[in-house]
Amino acid sequence: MSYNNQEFPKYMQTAGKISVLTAIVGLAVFIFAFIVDVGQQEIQKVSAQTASTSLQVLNTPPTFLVEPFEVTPSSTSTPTNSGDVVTWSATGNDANGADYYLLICSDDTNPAVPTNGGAPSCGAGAIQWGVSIATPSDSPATVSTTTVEFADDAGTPFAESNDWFAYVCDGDPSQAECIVTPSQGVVATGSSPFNMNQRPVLTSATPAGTINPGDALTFNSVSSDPDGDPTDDDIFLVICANPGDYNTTTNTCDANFIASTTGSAITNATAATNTAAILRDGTRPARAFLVDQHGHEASNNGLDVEYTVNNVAPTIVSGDVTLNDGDDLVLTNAAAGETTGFTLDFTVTDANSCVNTSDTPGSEISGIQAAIYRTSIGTTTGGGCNPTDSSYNPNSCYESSQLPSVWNLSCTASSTSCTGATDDTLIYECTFPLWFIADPTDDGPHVADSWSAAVAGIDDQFATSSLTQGDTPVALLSAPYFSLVTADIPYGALAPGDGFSNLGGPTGSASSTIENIGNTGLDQELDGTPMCPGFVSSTTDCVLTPTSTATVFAESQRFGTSTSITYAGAGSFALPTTTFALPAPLDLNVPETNTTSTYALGVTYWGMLVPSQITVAGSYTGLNTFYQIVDPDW
Amino acid sequence: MNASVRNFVVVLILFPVFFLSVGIDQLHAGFGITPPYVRNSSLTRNAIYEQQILLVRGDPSTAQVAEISIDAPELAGWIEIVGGNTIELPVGLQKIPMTVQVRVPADAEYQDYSGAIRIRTLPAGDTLAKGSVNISLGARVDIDLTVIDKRIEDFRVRKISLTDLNEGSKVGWLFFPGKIRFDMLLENTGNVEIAPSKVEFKIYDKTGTTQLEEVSNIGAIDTIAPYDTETVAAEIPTRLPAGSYIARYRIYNGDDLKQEGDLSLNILPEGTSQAAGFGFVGLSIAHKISLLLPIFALLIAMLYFLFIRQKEGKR
Repeated sequence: MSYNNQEFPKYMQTAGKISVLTAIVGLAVFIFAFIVDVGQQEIQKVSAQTASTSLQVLNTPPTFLVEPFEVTPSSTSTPTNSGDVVTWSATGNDANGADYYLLICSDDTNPAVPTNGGAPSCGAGAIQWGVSIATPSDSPATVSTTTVEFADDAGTPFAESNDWFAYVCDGDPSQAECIVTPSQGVVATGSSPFNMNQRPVLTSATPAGTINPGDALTFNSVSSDPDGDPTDDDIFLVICANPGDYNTTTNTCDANFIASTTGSAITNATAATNTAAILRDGTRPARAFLVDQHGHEASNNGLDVEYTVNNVAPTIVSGDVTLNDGDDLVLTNAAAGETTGFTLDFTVTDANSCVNTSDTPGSEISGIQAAIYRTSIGTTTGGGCNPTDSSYNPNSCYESSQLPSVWNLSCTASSTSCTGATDDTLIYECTFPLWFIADPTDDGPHVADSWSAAVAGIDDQFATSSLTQGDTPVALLSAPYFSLVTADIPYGALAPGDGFSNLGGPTGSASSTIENIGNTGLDQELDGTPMCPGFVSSTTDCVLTPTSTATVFAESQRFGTSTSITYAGAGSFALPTTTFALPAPLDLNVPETNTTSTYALGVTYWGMLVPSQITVAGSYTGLNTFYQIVDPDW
Repeated sequence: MNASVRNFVVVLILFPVFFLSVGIDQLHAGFGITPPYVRNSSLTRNAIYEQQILLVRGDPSTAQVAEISIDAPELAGWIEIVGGNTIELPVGLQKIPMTVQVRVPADAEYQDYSGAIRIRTLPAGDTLAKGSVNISLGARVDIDLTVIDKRIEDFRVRKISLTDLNEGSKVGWLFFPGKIRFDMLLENTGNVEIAPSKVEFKIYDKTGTTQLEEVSNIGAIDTIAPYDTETVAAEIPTRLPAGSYIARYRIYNGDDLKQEGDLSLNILPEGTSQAAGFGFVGLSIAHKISLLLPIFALLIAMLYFLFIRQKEGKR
């Protein structure tokens, strides 16, 4: 068999030649190695002993199975308050299955320093936030550190923002190792740095001043917050009544809340509130508490900021004053005395409440002033009807500065109208008398006038309200009362045909006197019955025939206002006969009485002429009637 | 001795006739009336007007009788004393009312009328002193009346008062306001029935400086008969919470402001007072609509349904 070599590739032409050459070269090298003593010692040794192998595997550092994180994540918005504990947690894995340590350092400039058989430490220059106890591999390790207020202590390691680097190290007895590259965590708010919040600083706190009930109450403070990352913290001033009222968890008052900062402040926080409309006067307890926006309180919280509620004068509003229940004043004493039982009702209001600290109902409002007066007189001092002026006048002004023996205003504070410290009202019910000479306002010179009441309240510190006039004045009615003081008509013994030449008789003593014991001017009308021995009560008891010898007709009596008037002269009037003629008026013009003890008087003088046809001797009886009328001109 | 001389001697011997002086022990035992008039300037035909007059005496230790006579020729038949023209004044009673009633005839002239009523007191029974000029105390009541052909609508406010009320209450979405009851003692000084046309409240805080609410009465106020004096109430809604306030009230007669002033207003927490609040009438317009609209819609739907049924029945 023959091959055409020219038709095959090159390698087909050299096949076999290379293999032989390679074998030969290999053999030559082998022989040379033995002959020329390359690596003689080893070869001789091996050749002299049994062959064995040896390998030392070095310790490797643990690794993070779970990356480190802050158990309570902190950030600039949720910092850890000074004094609170910062805790880290991570899970390490040691390839050797050995325990490991979690080490938290502030810096990674220098690597952590492992300790053979013990806990590692941070590298030089780094603050060691903490190191865990030896923790089995694959189990979580935790590290904690308690923060402190760094503003108060320059030596504290803490700052507002604190970097941290977490290492896992083992405690290999001979070759302890730490992870070369520390971790800063991967969870957003749980990663480095951890943020701290310092306490706000409350230097001082004071109330803005004394207040009246219902006023705005403001508490000021000198206060600040040292934190500024990324911006200054807001601070809030909270005011509670007592130290124990403040709740450090809710950062407000559990009870007795007074005020707190509204809006935001980064320095000198204030707290304001509108006080209740009804507040007892006196000093009130208050405590100031400063808290920042992260709920961290100032270290000296609870500063005493007691404030004072002023005593304010009582007030009375016009519609709360009612005179005589809206009824007209009617004088009903026709014995020249006082008419009692008029009423005055009013409500006194005191913003300091109706009770003082004694808690006795009505104790805050200790007294009242009152005036009952003809309205046009008013209550201005120096001319009006005002209790401070002692301007009492029984005609037109009754005021409460008078002793009860002069004017007995009797007032009772309702025992049920004052219900406690949140009640500002006390209702008074009064009764009072008016003298018979009190000016009428339904007629006469004061017809356009009325009667009003004005009252003032006095509190337990003698603060007095203004005198407030009621809205509903009333009329005082005309009361034309009179009495006969001397109705002696001493006609004496007269024979038929005899009589007086002048009214009043020879001595002027035949007169009748009326007293004005009412409140108007008076005139008078008169009539009378005939006189006869058989008279009982009426005109018809006598024989009325003109020629009767036992009847002295009424017209035999004449009357007038002066003794200078002759019996039948001008100014002398015949007495009309009762029921048969209208009474005859007599213009006595008795003025209004102006004092309670001296009465205006009116005297009527009488004259008599015994008719000559009278033949029956004896005692003659009759009945004259005095009608009082209001003098239209008084 | 002739007859004339004889008669003269007889008279001279048998007489004198003694008119004994009467020593009257009347010191301060007075008498009078109040008021001393019957007065009305706005009477209309057919009107009935009553005036009470008190008879007052200083010493009620003895019984007396008051005799009354009317001297008013123009008013004959119009005026009478209720109870008669004799009034007993018993022992112990110092003041006794006498009521004068005026009944204006239908054909009375429109003019002024005047007259007098006289009252005379007498000892009860036969107790006059014999041989004396006894004295009777009396008084005159002046009558001044005017009959007019004109309506007078006027009143006078005699007294006002407020009672405490409960604050408003919420039921579901409906707010029922508190009800202020504003009592007014009014005297009808006109001659037709009348009531205040409006009562307005401006409610301020306790200091009286800040107005919190302005409200007017809801519903009509009872009317008062001519010449009467009665208490009527205005009901005013308030939506203010419990607290103490000052109410500035205004009472109107038509467009005329009759009276205004301030009053204390106390609104109590809900349920404190027994006083009832407003019902449906106190609701706001929006709340009323919200309540009525579904009812009307339902009614309309029912009517429509009935209409359709009826229409189908006819087919």
